[in-house]
Amino acid sequence: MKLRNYLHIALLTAISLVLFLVEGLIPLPFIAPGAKLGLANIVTVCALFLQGPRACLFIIILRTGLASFFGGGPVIFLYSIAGGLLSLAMMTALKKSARFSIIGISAAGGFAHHLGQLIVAACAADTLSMFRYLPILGPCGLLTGFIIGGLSARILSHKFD
Amino acid sequence: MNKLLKKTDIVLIVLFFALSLLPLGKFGQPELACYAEIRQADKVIERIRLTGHTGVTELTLPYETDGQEKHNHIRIENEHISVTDADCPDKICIQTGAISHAGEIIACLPHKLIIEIKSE
Repeated sequence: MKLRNYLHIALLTAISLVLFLVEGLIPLPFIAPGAKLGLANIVTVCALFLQGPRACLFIIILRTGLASFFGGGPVIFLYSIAGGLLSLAMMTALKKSARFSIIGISAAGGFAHHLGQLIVAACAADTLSMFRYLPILGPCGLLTGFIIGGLSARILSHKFD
Repeated sequence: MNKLLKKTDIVLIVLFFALSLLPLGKFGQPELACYAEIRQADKVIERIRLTGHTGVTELTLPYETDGQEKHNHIRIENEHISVTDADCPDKICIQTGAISHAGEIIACLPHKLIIEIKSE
């Protein structure tokens, strides 16, 4: 990787972390454990399209690591990273198929994020009952992913060099 | 990439929506007598029968981490169980609120605490 790529990763990670922290300041109704806006994922989606999955992987790992340092802790890190990685895997696969638009890819990514978190939570708690939350969290992820996808599409419609 | 929302996107979203609803079929059974199982670090600490429980029972569970004593305060009011106070970082266990049906769960992952309602 060139220095330029490292710089992009560093900048995008910083933006993503700020979005994550800002989101924490916005009061939102509590719907279900783990449900949130996921503003930081605007950066994830944009980075996937601008820089590719490799850079995106770095950004997710760095942001999740730093975010759990600012608040959360190791347990929360574990299930955030599981969500992030499953989401990235899903989005990369869908992007490769070239059949879907940014919004569709992002919505699926949102869903995968919650699915990943639930899988880790189910393993940690050693009970399948965790998946009771899927009917709430799944559509939540789709909706927030849809919105994030729309926002990302707008950002990506500008020219970058 | 030129069109913002394609037909395949809608198919994809509907598919995932249907997938999210799958657990409803599995967990939507009629209820038997329930008890709350409180587990910490994979060990069952308490089993409290909820069906027929009246009045208020409160208990505080300590949790030792990094030499600090943390706690979760649990309240059982009639047939509902909830975490009313905790000093975990995310407070998700408190926000989950009261649960009363078999299969429902309150998790405080930072304190490795799981309260699960099971039917007999």
